Amino acid sequence: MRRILDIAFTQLLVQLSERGTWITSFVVPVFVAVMIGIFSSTTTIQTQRIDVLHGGDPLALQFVALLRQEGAKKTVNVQLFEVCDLSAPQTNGTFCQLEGLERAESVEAFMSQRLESRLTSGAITLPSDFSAALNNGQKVNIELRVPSGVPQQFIQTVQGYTNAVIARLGGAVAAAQAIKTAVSGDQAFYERVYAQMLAKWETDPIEIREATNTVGGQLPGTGFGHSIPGIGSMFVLFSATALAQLFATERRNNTLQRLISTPVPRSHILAGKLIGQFLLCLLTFGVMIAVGTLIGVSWGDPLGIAAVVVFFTLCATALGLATAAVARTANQAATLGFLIPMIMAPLGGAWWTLDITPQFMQVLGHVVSPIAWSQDAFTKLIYYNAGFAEIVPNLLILLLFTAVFFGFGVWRFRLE
Amino acid sequence: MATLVEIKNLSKRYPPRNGKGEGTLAVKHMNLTIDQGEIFSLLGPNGAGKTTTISIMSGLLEPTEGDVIIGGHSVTKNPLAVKKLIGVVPQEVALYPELSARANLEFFGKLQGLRGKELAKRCDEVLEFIGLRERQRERIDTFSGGMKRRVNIGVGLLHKPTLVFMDEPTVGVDPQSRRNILDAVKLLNQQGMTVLYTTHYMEEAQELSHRVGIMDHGELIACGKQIELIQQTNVRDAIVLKFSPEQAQQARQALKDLPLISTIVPEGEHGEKLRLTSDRGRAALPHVVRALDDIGLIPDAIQIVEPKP
Repeated sequence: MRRILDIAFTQLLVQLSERGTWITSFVVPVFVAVMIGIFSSTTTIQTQRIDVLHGGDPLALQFVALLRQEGAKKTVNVQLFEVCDLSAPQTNGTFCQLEGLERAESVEAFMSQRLESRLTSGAITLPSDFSAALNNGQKVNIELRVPSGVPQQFIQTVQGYTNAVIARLGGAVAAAQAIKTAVSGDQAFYERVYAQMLAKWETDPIEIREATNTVGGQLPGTGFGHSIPGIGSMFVLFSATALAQLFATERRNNTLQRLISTPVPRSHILAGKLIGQFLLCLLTFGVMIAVGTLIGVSWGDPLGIAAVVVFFTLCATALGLATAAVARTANQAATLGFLIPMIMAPLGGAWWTLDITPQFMQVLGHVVSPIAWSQDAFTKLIYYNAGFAEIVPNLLILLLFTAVFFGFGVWRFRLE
Repeated sequence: MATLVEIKNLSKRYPPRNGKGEGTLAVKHMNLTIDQGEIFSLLGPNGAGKTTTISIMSGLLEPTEGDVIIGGHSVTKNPLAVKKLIGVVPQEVALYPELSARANLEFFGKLQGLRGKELAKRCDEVLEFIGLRERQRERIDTFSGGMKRRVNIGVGLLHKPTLVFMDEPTVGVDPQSRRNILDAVKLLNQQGMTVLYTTHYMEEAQELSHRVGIMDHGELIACGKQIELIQQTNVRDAIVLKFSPEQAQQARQALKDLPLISTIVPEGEHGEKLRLTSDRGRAALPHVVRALDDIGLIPDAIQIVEPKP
């Protein structure tokens, strides 16, 4: 065992003596993860502003109130949008940034200016006869304007919430009117029925749940919670598959032949090399976790995070052995060492969450890439406050990947 | 003297590169014994089979046929026991360039089972022996070629092996480093180590060895003490012809049927020299020149070498 550790630690020392290792295993992963984290934090889960302009009639005010309720709902624990009522500025918070409204030429011009400067991500204009039209059962046209560059997904979401509000309002009005007409035509009776119908909508009869929202939780999330483990996993794969290049280099430098000529069994030499690479990969992941902590990622259950890191690193190291078994030359080793992580990372959801990809891509990612399983586990732990027990299935599947890669590697690998 | 190494009917066939044919027979039914305390030189050009033989003896390659017994242990059946007895100085420098000279020595020393004070003491002794104590903390990639060669030798000697394999240790080194290496080999032998030394320089073999084996195309074509070799071939002196490697092949074909030539031994890194022995010594030269002239070959150089028994 001591000789195995001697080989492992010497290999680690040799690799850390190279400036290139520091750049590829620590500097570049941190840089890429932080960049992607900043990008995803600002574009996908920052709370957006939605301006609303209306005529101040009762159902319009009701519309604003209901839309505010919808906007307050959270996606990955971040409020999706804040409704800014331009027709009743005093009802808005400071987040709406409505300073200058009173000096504006008109409210419409102010709204257009906000759209052009992208201070707001959408502007809804209700017709001045909104209440009357709804009460009379007429078709109501609502205008939603968005600045260029707003993600289509966000626009669709706002449209969805607006439609939901319209359905609630329209449904309540239509029901109350139908009952009023059928019974007596009494206006007071209409008001009571309308209020009761609207109250019924407080609890949505049909609720849409997000696909990823499988575990309940209250932790605040940012893009770093996805980018740090995702990019970390990708670069751990880069480090692990570099094992093939390491063997090619040692053969070229004749150090592998010298190792074989010592009284150390070949299996011990191989074990030492694998442990050395495992330790380097673990260091890479450790640095990523440390940087994530500094940035403010709330990792959740420490035991769970440690388990995912160790199990994924083990799996990556086994993949490194399988790569070394296939690569016959240094060039082949370099090519495979680049291609494998570059294919597995996006398929496994290291660059973006798999939830935004088509169903078949999600299935494919989980079949071919262990990153998909580690990312699922990280998401559960970081965003949904999951405990260790909830990630056990992910760990078992990572172990299965490890067994397959290791079995193939041991079968095909030749030290000489 | 007791026999330390016994090579028995050793053959090695490499598989064909393209998967077709029989492959290359690098060593052909080789038989040889080396005694304890001896310096034995294997002489021959590149491709003669010297390195393959040493690779089998040091457990890097499996033989196709036959076996090697070292210190009573079979290389094929008990390789780890054999590896404890041997030290290997490979043809190419086999060191971690990112580590210092001492770190390299310590690492390979640990793999040989040395630990603690014993390891430190042996590292100090070896660094003193190879003359690099002052620069022991410097990275190998900052060393000159000669210095790397010395560390390469040092690693092979660290655990005081019974038998040292030195595979062409002087290739590509400057004359001063070459002299140091040859002196070191003699010193090691005086300290009791048995040395198996491969070279393609006849002069090195003559200077160092108690016995010499001459290999060509995987065969041990002659073996014995220098005086025995001379007696085997009844040589008075030898004629050394120098050609380009391609011409050397043609010349060899032309001269092999010349009745008065006893042996033709290729020499030089690429077999560009031919050492001819004849019972008529230098008197055979006119016949040799005439035979070469018949096929249009003119040697680049002709040298008469007198034997040094």
